Amino acid sequence: MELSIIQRPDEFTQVELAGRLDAVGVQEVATRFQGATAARGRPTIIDLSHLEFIASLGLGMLLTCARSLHNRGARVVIVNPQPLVEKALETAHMNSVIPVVKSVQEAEAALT
Amino acid sequence: MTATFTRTLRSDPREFEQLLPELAAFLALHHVEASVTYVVQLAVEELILNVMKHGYHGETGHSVTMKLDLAGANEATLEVEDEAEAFDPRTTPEPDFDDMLRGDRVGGLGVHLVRSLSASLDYRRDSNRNHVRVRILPLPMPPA
Repeated sequence: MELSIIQRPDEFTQVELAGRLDAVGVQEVATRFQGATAARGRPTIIDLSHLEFIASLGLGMLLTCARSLHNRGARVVIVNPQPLVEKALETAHMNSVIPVVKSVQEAEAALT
Repeated sequence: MTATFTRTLRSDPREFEQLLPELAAFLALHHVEASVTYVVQLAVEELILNVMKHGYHGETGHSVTMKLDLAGANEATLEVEDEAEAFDPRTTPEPDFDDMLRGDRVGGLGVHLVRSLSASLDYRRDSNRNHVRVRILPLPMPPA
């Protein structure tokens, strides 16, 4: 499970999650993920283009991030999930609290 | 083509972690369709970890057995059997999706995913054991 933090010149936080966000993957990245996203309290873009799998613990990790940012007045957007990951997000009603868009540009527009 | 994958695990998350690559290799060997592969792996994770965490309350020294039957690349049946207290996943309440940005967690999300993404989910209690049976078929996906 890989977490990449994209350096940006503006106020946005941007991260990429790649691999499998199952119980093992969550253990590997959860602390760093929350530190890189929720702890910064900024508008956040989570790129899931290279995420192959997500289970309930991974969904919980994303939801915890969205809740923390919401409480600090910031929003989060998910970018380009693969079809089966998007199906899991929809089934968990995640798209009702975290908008899903197709590109980083769309995410920037949604957060501006 | 039919094929079966069976494992009995001790109630130790490390044994579950060791199971995952073996299961992935079995599914790949039999060219199981992508969405069936996804839901099998999801159901294995949600059901087995649920037993270890909630059924056995994190105690080691118990066991959980899984059996996966493939009927071709497009149909799988997963059976999970444990000796914990009776737990019928068909009757657990749906998670509260109305206010997801409040509260600490969304309870019951794993069972909800398995129920929603499988073709059927059956349960029986027999000889003081829980038997959960999940039938998995390809998911309808929107055109690319």
